[in-house]
Amino acid sequence: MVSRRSFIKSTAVLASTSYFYPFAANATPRNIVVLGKAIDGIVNGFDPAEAYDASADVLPNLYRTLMTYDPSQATKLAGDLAERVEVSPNGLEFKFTLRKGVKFNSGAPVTAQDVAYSLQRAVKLNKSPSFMLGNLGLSSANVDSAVQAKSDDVVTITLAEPRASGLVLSTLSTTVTGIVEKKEVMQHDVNGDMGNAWLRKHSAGAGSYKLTDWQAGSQIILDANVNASVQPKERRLVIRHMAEPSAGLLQLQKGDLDIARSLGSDELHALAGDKSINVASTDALTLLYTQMNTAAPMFQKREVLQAIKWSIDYEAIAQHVTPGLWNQWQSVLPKGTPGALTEQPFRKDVAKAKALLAKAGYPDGFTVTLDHPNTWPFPDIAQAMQADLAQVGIKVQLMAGDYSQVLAKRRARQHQMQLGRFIADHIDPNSFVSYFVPNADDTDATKVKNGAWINHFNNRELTALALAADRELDNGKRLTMYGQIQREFWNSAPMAFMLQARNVAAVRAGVTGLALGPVDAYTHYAGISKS
Amino acid sequence: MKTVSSPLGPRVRASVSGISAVFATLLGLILVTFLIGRAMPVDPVLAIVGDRATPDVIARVRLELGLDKPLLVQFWIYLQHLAHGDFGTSVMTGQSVLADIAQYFPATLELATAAIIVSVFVGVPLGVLSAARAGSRIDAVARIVSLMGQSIPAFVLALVCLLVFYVKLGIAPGVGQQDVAYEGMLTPVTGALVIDAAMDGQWDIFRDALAHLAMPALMLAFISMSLITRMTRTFMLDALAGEFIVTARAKGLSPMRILWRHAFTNIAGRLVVVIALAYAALLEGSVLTETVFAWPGLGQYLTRSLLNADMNAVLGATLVIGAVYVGSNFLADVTYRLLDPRVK
Repeated sequence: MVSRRSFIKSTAVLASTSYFYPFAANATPRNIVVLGKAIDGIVNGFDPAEAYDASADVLPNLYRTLMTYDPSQATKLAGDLAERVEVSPNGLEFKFTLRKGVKFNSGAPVTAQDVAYSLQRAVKLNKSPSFMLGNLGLSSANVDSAVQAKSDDVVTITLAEPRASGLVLSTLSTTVTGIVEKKEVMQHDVNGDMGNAWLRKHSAGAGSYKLTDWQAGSQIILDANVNASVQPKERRLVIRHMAEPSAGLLQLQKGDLDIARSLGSDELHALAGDKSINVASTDALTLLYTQMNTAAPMFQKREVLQAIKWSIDYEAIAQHVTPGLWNQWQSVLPKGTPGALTEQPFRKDVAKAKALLAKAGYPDGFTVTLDHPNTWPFPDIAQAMQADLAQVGIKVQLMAGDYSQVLAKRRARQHQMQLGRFIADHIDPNSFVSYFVPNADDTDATKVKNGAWINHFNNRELTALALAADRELDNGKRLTMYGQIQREFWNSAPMAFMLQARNVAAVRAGVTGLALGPVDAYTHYAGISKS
Repeated sequence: MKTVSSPLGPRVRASVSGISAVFATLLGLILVTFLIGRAMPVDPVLAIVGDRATPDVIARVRLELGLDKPLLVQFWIYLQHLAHGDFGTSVMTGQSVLADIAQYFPATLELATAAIIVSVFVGVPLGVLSAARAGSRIDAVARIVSLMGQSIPAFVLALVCLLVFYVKLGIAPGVGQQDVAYEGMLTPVTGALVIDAAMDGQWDIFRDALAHLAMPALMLAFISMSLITRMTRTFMLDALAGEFIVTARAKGLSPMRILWRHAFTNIAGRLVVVIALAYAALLEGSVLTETVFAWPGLGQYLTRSLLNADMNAVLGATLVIGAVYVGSNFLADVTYRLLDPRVK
């Protein structure tokens, strides 16, 4: 269904673009690629040990990692700085032999000492994204002995407990493991901050670009790293803040942008038939889901959780609310993750949902609140869900809020139902499962406040299975375990996974080579060229 | 019996009292902003570290931000730092708030100054003319234009301007302070791009920056001009009805001399107050305009900081805006006293 607001908005965009477009005659300068996207969420800049989420697509263009995503074999990884990877049979030791001839922006070669320092630094600084290295058992206390440079081109990681190689290698492809130049960073150490303050606004990597300027919430300028092995096709990339997708669309059509990201379904719809703009897209490892806090008595009944899962019209939401940007997807592991189940077991079935509610002791339904961020597509999805759930007798009160408010409420476990979005850090199933499944300690004193904890989802068997899967060295067995987890999730988890995102970019004709990844950590801009 | 008078003259006493009022107002402003910031249902720590940070990272950041202390202690610490010129560090940009303000405020100053210059040079003569020919077509046009400027919201006007001049006619550049081709080619000195480009003799950049400045500045000028025109007209109508004007006419002075030398001089003090307040409003009130035009000024900085729960930045920017407003008010008051001998 199309809301009145989106109809008016899309009509306005269509009318204006079709009417005004003949006047477009501008073009961005030669050798400069101008990309528009929302960048006002970037906090604290671009130190790979600290930057997270909003800056994720900039970092892989500044820093290289030991491993990276291989677009030619979906769900697989390839060596980036690592030319050869050897894993000991017991899953404890990982040996990386570095490629020769890779240089930092300064011209200095990338050595095993730089790699070891970068990983040690990320753990010791203990900033937001360091939890990923913590998942491998690395801590400030053990990282110096666990990560060592054996020579100029060999670095080893020795774990205290075995971990699946897929998990370890996938973690080593994330932005937090971006390799910085030790010497350069040390020169900017202030009061033992390991150059953290300096690296927020500068770069010291071997990626295709260097960071030239960052004006928070306004623009980011990247210039070619002249010593990089992968040279950008155009010497400068300017990322400009795009506050409003419809304005971004106009700028793209006027030629003031080469590429526009952060577009909504309305803008994509407006682009249909416009031969001057191409749309590039790929499945993103991003899921949209509804979570139900089992502190609320009704959500302690499995039948109620099932009833909600059978009440939602997933297909209608995907087709009419989020066309082109979010597809129907019901598993905790998205398409593109090894072992993801492609089944879609739930569909809207009012009679079945009502029967389940009656069995749970709620024949007349109940009243519940649904929190959601106030940015698209959440309000439209929440309204669609409200209508669906009303048909089975569940009265939903919508509670829109700023994203920070919604986040604070769920971290305090004060929500009843809430719409959430989860963006993966890497392609290993652990990236999702570690957030949604294990909950060994449901008290407020726990050290792990993940999605399972937030909803008091405390399934001991699934927790044990998830932790065992992290340590399973046989990949076949491991994927079977993740299959079990996904099925049990459909059965008992207080979360209904609804949609999977697509990474989308609108690109002006003549602009080619944009490599969108399933997560932003695998998005590369160096191949972009303009004819 | 002899009356003991204060050793300070009335003007000095008024100034001291005015300055005290300025400080009291600013202190009140800081306190209210501080309390609103802390009362918001947003956890600034989560806004920084995100949903997935471990509890020890969250606890450390909370400690670093001083949020573990009681509210009054936090406020006292903030005031102490402020007294030393330390506005704190912005969690969003990672640099000191003072440095951020020094970076963003010149762009706002540039925009507001350009707007006020245009609005004074157009608005004042239009108001004078409108009053001199009250009831004429010129008066009607001036009144309609000033009514429009007062009634249309700035962001609506901004969007319409973009749609007409950028999208439809293609005679204005798009949003932002300069074309992407010139980014990073100029080392900021004053921070106002037009002035920096002129000082550096970079005339291509100057022309480009001026073109980018034109639309938002003219739009803001239109809004403040409507106020200035309206007030000038009202003041002038009042002055032209004065007995001293009848006397001047009786003396046979030329109409232009009566209008400008006698009537206009009479309203100058009040007009300065209006212009000063309009300028202050431009400096503090162009938040939406800056957002629509992607103008990298203080308004945009403040909006973004609010959305990211960056309270040091919000407090710092609010304080600057408050200081500008209160300062302008104070200066206008002093100027008024100097220009108008009737006010003591």
